[in-house]
Amino acid sequence: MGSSIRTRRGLAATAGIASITLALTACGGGGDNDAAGGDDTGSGEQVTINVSTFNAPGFGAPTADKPGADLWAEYEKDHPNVKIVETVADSSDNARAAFNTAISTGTGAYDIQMADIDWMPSITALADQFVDLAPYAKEAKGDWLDWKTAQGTVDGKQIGLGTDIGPEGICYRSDLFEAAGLPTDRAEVATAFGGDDATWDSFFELGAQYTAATGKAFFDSSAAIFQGMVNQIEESHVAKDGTIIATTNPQVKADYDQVTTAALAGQSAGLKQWTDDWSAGFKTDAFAVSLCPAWLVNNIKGNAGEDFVGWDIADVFPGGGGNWGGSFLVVPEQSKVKEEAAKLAAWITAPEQQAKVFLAASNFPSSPTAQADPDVAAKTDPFLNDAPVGKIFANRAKAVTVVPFKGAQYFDIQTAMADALNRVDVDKSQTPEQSWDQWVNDVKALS
Amino acid sequence: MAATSAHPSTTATPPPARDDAYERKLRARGRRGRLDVKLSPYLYISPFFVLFLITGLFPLGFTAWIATRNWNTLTGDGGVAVCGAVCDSTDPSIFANFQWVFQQSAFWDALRNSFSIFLISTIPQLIVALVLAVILDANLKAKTFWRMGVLLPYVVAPSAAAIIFSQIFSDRMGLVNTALNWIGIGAIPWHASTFWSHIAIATIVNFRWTGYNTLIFLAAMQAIPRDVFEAAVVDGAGRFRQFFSVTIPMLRPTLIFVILTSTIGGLQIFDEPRMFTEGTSGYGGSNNQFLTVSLYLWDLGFNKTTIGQPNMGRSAAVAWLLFLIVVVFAIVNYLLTQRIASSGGKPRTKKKSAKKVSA
Amino acid sequence: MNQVSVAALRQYGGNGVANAAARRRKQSVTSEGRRPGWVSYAILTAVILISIVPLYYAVSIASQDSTATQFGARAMIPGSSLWRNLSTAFGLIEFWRAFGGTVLVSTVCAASTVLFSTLAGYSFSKLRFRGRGPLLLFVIGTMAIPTQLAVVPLYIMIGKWMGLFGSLWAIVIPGLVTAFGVFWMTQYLEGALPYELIEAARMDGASMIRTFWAVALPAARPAAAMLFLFTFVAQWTNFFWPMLILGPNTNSFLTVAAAALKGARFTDYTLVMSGVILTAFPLVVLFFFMGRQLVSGIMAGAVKG
Repeated sequence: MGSSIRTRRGLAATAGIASITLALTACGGGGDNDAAGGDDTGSGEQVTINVSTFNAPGFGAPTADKPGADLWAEYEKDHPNVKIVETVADSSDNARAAFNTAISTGTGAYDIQMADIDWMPSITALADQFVDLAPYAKEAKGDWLDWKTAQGTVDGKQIGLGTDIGPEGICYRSDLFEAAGLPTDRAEVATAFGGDDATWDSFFELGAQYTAATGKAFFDSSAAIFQGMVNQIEESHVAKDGTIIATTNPQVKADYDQVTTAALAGQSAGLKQWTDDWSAGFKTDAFAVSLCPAWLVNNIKGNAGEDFVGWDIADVFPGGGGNWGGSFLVVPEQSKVKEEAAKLAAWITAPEQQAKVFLAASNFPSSPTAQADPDVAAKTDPFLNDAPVGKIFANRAKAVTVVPFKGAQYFDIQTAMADALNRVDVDKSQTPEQSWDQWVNDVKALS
Repeated sequence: MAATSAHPSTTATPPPARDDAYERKLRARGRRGRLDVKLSPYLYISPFFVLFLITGLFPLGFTAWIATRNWNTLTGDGGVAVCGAVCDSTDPSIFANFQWVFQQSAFWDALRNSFSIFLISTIPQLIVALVLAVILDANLKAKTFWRMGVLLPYVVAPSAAAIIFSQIFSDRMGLVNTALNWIGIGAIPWHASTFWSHIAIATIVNFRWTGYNTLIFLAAMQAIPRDVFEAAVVDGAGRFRQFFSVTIPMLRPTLIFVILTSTIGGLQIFDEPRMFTEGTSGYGGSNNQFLTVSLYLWDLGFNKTTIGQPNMGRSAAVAWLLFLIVVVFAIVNYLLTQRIASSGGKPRTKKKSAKKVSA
Repeated sequence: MNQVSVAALRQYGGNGVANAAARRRKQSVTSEGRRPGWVSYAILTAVILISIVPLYYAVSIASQDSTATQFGARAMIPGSSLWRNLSTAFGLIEFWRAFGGTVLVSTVCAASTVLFSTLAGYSFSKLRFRGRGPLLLFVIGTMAIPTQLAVVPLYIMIGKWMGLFGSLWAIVIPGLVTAFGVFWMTQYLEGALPYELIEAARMDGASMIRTFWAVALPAARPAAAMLFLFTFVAQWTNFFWPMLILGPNTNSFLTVAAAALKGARFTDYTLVMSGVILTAFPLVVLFFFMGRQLVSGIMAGAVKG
């Protein structure tokens, strides 16, 4: 008797252990993970929309280090049933890695993901996993530059709604220019760079002049300059038919040669982008010039500090115009609140909100309506010596004539190119020729 | 006996036979009782084996399978692997991913770095740990305080330690380089140079593990019977002589163990180089200065996920190669240390007597 | 995940120690050894100082008043903004969420490892059954398998098939058992649990599981506590697997949250270091309370020899 009771209890204990195991697995399987969030959709019901962005998207409430238009709060106010949780990743690269793994597993992705143009190709290649946002955009009266719309559209399905674009000017340190005996007024600086006829030759000529006068570096990083160059090539690394042409493209090689030559002549500060040393350089006089896509102004401000005096921006860019970066919002099909998420994505990329973002932060609108907004056009930036940034970036956007094609492998090839330039410029561990050869091998390995 | 820890066979000895009366009594309990006795042992080990089967054994085979496939992170399985332009081959082959990996200079760089960082961290770490253990083995005041003191860094996560050290080893304005500049030695390229980056990463590793190994050595030292030392003292051995001819040989099993685990752990180092990387791309350095095999595995499988490449298959191939390397090295290491450390005949007999005591 | 194995395998060294400690007691050490000179204290002080400098530097950076990406030597002098920076970072990493997640993962993994290891260890050390030897050998053999080997398939299995990508359970599952734990408990129970006790319980008519519960579990307590502590620390400091499987969901685990905070584009190191401090802090506090046990655990795991 006694023993049988004990046995039963024994079995119960064993079963208990087994059920713990089961419970753990079951909990995991049933319980929603935090990233996916939200429960059932349906109008009126409480929904949580999780948004993943990176760098300084300017959507949320402003913080000490990131500007913002506080748009989430605005949307939540108008939609009391919606709660928005934004997670800002440190960088586009890290956001991309996390996003890709989430997409590949089919779970855990955010309801809205901000995606950089450089990695849009891998999203458009998986178009069926993303919501067609066109109807929502139409309702929210969204409009975009034609090329921006095209980059987010696959077979008539608009899966990416453009947030900002990255028209590039040149940011410069007027105090350092003065010390080098160069002009400091932004119109004169623009002329010194070559004005409307500015080329990369004239850019590096001015650099040589600066370096000769001061013995100091002119620009921040070879990889950054190369970004400016490669974004002007219509088919750089990948041809429109999908073949990889990077290593045989004469323009790529010419740009590579030009920038490495300038770097070895002492024009480059030899800093790797997005590193501590690079960030510090905006404050420590490490270089006098940085290519300046609109959104980068946020970073310069953040790195130098809001009160820093010296940075200014010239309405000029070598080779006409150029666009660097700019992002899209996509809504994965796996989202449990995709309907609400799509509405939010459409709302926040609508012209009105784009304008607000530019006014609060420095992300230039991809919407023509927003660009035409008088407040946008009139914006000046005290950090950049009260430069009329609204006007300047509008001019810079107009000067963009080439829409570069970015194929599936573009991101990896460009990353390898940055490594190649860093080997020469930052680590100084290889000659340009050695580094090029290694890059050629790296590109070959991508097949 | 400490040797058992590194010697599986010793632990596999069956429990002693129990007396017949006891067995009879068990049997008398009837069928349910018999079943209880028969099944319980299996029942108790089953949670471990079931879970291990799922999270350990099955993945082992699954990795091997993926390594033969054209598997992309985003698009999944795409048939038998193809090596591609690297080997001028578009033929599917189950070895294609391995061929591709062998053709990558990054893989060989990673292998070199893993070994180099492993050696640079392990050797000084063990020497320092031994010395510290000797010091702690003495009759110190406030023993626990000192022991806790050396163990403190152990609770700091390697990833967190790496963030702190990346500030200390920052190239332009890091703590170390500012100091070096101030002294007049000049800055050291902590990230750009292969050698110096290994030193920096080894420092992060040592920061966390030196104290831990010190305590392991200390415990082993305290387990050495004092009469052995007394005998050595009678023989006229000085402190150094005692250390080399008594302490070291007596620590043999612990040494073997620590070196073995350092090998397994050291070759898998990931957190430190990952967080030591500056910027958001070019993990392990733009010239693979401090790319380790694990970091390469991650970068390939989870970072460079571009559609059209069998990146996950290649990552799995790297994982299997890492596995083979670790196993081979663990065995080589084991044999080597055993040979080196077993040279003294005298401590050996001593140990046998010790074994009897503990049994 | 790799951390688990590395740390766990390192503990394996502590195991010889466990037995050694038992032996030490038996031979009743009488001489406490030589008296150390000031040199010993000086060396130890130096070593501890060296290991504290990085931690001090982190705190000092976190206390700076002005934001900067780099501080160099000037941050050796602390500023006055520690609390402000800590509280900002506190919000950025959603401390309570990350802390709760880390506590949950570490506790569940440690408890499950201890429970299953004790069960298996008891079975291996004290019960007779067919295949015991080979199975135990197998357990020991698997300790050499690098867990990173399994990263790719685990990602597919747990992330894709189980649909747990981004979830804390994805971190828990591979940490539920360790081969080391089984080995450790087997080793310990072999010496610490006399057969007489088991037999006495069985004679009293206790079932197998009752015997385990009443006899083996209490006897295993010291080693189980050790195993719990080390598994807990190993999980707490885990980074590779959580970083991988949490994906964008970074703020649910402390180490990953700190790493995510180390932003590259807006580097304000007063905040980054504040984040690092916040993630390390709970364990350091725990260390001040449990450090003694941790030390004596490594030193003398087998208390009941």
